[in-house]
Amino acid sequence: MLARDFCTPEAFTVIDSDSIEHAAKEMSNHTVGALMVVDDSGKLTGVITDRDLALRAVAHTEGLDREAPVRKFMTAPAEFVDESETLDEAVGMMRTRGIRRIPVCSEGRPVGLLALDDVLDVMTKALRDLSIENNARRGRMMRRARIERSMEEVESLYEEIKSRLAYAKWYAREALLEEVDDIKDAFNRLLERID
Amino acid sequence: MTVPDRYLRAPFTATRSTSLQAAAQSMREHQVGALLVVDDDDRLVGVVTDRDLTISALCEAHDPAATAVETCMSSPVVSMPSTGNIILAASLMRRHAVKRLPILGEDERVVGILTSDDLVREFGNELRWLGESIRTGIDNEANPPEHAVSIFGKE
Repeated sequence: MLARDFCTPEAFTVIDSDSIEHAAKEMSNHTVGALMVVDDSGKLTGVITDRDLALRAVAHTEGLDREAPVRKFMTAPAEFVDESETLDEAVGMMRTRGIRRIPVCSEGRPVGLLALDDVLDVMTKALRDLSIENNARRGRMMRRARIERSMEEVESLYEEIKSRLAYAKWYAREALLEEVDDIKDAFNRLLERID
Repeated sequence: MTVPDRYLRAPFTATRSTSLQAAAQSMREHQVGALLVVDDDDRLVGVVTDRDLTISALCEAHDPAATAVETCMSSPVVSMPSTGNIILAASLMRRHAVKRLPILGEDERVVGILTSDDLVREFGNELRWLGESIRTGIDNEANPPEHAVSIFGKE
């Protein structure tokens, strides 16, 4: 499993000389909390989050310069993983660095942003599938047991009817036993359908 | 699965008139991503996040020193009574699409806060315990400990 396969499909970037106002608007328009920052040649130079802007720019006591370049407030140098690295390596890196998003790069250029939330999403879906399958299996076993119990009841009824019909006319006996055989066949078909 | 005690602690708060700038400084100082906004009577009236501050100050061009957080906070707030449990917390977060859930005491005042990260940690621990019990079960079946008694009685 490669880190690249778990990235958000769209990776939003800004250039490090763009204004922080532009960065905030990008975050707002795309409803994302983090943007990857690149230089003029497209190489990753940092990451900027809505939290960086709040804590470093909005909190600033000397007033807010909305035209200030992103590079002034971004986290740099950016930690990143190469697109050839596995999901495990990327998650391990996020854990040791205490970060929850990490850019995935190809030759230094961002191709996607991997967020712990996305990984969690994939894992919980897998867990849910597992749990649904488990429940379905238990359901199948319980239905099978119920049908088998009913089948046993039919068998014992069959024997009882047979002994009571011992003195009945032969054609009446055959007709009734045929009916019971049909019922048994129906149960068997039910059992087959469960598997 | 009641709310573990470690989440029942006084949260960091602001008032309606706290400026965006002061709120951002408070978030930085306390290393949190949101402040609960309370009125004079200490009742919860809103929540303001770091993102709300950024959008208000940079996208809507409000002056951080002269704008009150009440202009950008979320209100009313989805909350949970302290008698609730973490399963209810997860379902409330999902239903209302929120990441933070203030916990209210009997007098309707905030006694704590649960975040979706907290829940992931709690459920993650449960899953780890579950996984370990399953593994121990499989190991015991393969190599029964000497003192183990079969459920079918002594052989």
